[in-house]
Amino acid sequence: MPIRALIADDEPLARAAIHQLLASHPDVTVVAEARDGREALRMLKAHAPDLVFLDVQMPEMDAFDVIRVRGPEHMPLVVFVTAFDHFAVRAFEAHSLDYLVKPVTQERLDLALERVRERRTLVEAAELARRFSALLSERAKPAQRILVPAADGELLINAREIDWIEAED
Amino acid sequence: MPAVLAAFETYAQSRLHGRPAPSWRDILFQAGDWLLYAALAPTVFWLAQKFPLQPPHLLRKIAGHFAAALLSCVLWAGCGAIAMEYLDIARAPASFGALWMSWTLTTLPWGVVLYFAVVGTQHAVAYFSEARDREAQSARLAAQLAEARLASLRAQLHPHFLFNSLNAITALARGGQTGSAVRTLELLSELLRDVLRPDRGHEVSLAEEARVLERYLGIEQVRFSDRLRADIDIDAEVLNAAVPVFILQPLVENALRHGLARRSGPGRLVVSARREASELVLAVHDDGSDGQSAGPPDAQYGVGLSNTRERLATLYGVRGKLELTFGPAGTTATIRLPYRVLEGGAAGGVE
Repeated sequence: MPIRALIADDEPLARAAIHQLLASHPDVTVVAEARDGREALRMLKAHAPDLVFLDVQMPEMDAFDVIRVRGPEHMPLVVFVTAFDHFAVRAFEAHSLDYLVKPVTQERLDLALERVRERRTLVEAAELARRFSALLSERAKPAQRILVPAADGELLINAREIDWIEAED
Repeated sequence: MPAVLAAFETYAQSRLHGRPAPSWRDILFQAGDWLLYAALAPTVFWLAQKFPLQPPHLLRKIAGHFAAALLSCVLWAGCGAIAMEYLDIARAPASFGALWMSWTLTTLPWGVVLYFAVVGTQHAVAYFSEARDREAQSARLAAQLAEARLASLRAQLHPHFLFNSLNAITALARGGQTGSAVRTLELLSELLRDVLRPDRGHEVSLAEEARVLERYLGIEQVRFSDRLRADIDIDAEVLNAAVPVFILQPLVENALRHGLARRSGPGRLVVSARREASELVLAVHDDGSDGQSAGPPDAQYGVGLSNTRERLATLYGVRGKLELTFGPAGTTATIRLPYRVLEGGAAGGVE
């Protein structure tokens, strides 16, 4: 069963690195790349990938914002990628989610894909959503930005700039 | 201890001179007399602590201690005289006053020596514990300094930057772009060498600061190849100006992270330096808001700059300033500090 993957990272060479390492896995196809959190959200919606390599530290919207906005229950399998983030690594370990540290090695990526394949055979989407929710609640903070649909995509609005919210039928 | 020795002495002296063994009262008195002084000693110790023999008013303190020494003899002898009366061992029958006076005179040489021996002991103890405190204090200061150095190193070269750069280099190498991979490794090595240099003071010439920044920006351009153009524009006349080491790098990082990241297309970053009268003006400008996204930039903009503000305030007081200005053409971070030529600055800028 082919795996359709999304790569989200703000650095072109970091995306290239994942691409290169995936070359030895013919069952994985990269269906899209995203340069920031907002693009990642759009691609998640548009392509509904099976797997996303999600850079933790992206400008404006980081990996956790992406999961929060998209909703843990709508997330595909996630492999976090991080350069140096003790907190994130500890959190991932605590919730047994997979993560890669940069520079990413072939061995480690192979292992991550091994786990991804295993998980796909088990039906554990609900279980994974629960883990994401637990991860997010650990990092709970009031929403700082909210995503609003607009004519040409979405608008990211700072919560502190909102004076009031009104609904009309 | 002296009391026991004194008792022994009294006994032994009598035997030596062929006198009959002294009465137990004599022995008791000779020993007890020393114990009387033991009771006085803590007061003397306290006096020595209260009025240490050191300036100011050294002469006055010596005189005071001498008077106290005499007084201690009078007290010691008084107690001794009472004991003699009580034990009934006075050599010649006399009034209590005469006994006290006579015993005071006998006690005088020993009493004064003892008094100052206690004062000396107190001073030795105090000096020793002060020396130990000083040692602990200097160890603490050294630790603080090392910690500050480490913190500044981390601020200068964040591990995030380091590992992302290494990740980019592996991608270049795997992709067969060995030329770029080698160049980036060279830049990174040079940058590390600059930052880790042990003889680096807290101020460098602007020329050296610019050179380090060029390397840093060179690496950032590799990482964000598709969306960063960077220029460094420094007036030749300020190349030898003294600046705090690595003062510009956090501003540049901030501009990249919060300014340029907002742009979908390529962004431009300009670092400039010029002199305005007695001030050196350093500016980092990014054209972050590309006209499409109105309003103030990212709420986080400038949060990472409190360190820089603190550093400027510590080094230059009110003359060191950092200002952020937001406009339609982008964001500018401006540092103002007193203009001063770095001593031996010409050497600082050349490798």
